[in-house]
Amino acid sequence: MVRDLTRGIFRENVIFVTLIGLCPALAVTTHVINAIGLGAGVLIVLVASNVSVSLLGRIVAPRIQYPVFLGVSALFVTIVDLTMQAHLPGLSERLGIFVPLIAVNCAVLARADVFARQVVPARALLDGLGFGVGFLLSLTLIALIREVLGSGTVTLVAFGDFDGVFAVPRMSDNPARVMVLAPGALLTVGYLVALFSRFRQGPVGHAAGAEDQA
Amino acid sequence: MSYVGIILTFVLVNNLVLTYLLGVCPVMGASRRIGSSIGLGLATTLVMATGALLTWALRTWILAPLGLLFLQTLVFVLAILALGHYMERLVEAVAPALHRSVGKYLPIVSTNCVVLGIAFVAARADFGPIESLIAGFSGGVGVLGVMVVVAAIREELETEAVPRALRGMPVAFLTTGLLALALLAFDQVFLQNLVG
Repeated sequence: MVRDLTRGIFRENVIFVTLIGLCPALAVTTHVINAIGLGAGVLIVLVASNVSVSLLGRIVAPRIQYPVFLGVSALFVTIVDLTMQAHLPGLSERLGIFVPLIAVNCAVLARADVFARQVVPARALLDGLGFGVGFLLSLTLIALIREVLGSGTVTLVAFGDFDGVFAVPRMSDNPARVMVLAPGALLTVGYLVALFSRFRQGPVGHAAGAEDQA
Repeated sequence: MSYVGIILTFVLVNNLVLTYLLGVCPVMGASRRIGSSIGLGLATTLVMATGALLTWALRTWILAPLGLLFLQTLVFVLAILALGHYMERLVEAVAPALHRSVGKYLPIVSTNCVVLGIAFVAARADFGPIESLIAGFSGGVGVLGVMVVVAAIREELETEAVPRALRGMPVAFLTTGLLALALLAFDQVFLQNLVG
């Protein structure tokens, strides 16, 4: 049970190890707050979809499971999207199409298909939490690297008179602007994946599967 | 925006893979051989063009009149999934040879974020039917181009000495990153000078 919770955070991290659900991870990580916002969205959708899929897994016929799971995920994404538009309009504006795109995030669909539909809701919940937190932390790490190098700032929540932007001394005078553009995302993730595979001492992209079936 | 402007925007200036960073998964995951990357890219283009048109029709004729635009995400996702499924059946029945090279990828790409992404981009920009179709098609051509180029570079890289930790995925990311860097040359200024 504990492994259900922990394996998604480091050992089977969706971004750096199994390399799925990448599209939003690359695009929104220009500011730390965007990464946290989208990561939280994915976390909520992943937990909700995992629990629902676990409940539905035994009722829905295998032939139509995929469209049903996709529908479930899209439904929760709609809830998150509309809530975000109502309460956090600024963040919702900056994340743009990447909030609705959580609906087809490979990470959410893969957890539903590989794990959640075969287990009891409690395990599916822990699995969703673990992988969601892993996703959130990975996005935050990528955003931290990109924003510090590319803008020389760290953008967090704004409150009162404070606009939420911390300037990093020396870096903010002359940042490497390319890091917050698209190439910076690909380069950062490339080097981080290499770093992760170095720590894990194995080829990249093989971690999912065998463990999950157990 | 003029039709030429839309084509240039989605093929070069706002290439969906290299600037929006959509569809990175198929570019990374599938393109190790030029042949299969062309098939996958063509299937993506087909679903993107028809999908953009289909979602425009659904939005304009069904969701907007009924006041159900807030269900857009759910409807788009399921509609494009069904589109990919039935299009595969159609290709299989009409042209079996084409099915082996292109058609078999149709269901896979129908849940890809780049396909859904162009539908959302077109919806947010309030594109008309022709504009949506062209945006979908040229977006697909842009994706196809990147897939083929990345596959070609990765084929070459297989015989090169790559540091152990960078082998496989990491070097593919760095390659695509450098491609994106090259594409920064095509920006809004370039577009404005060309089509006004």
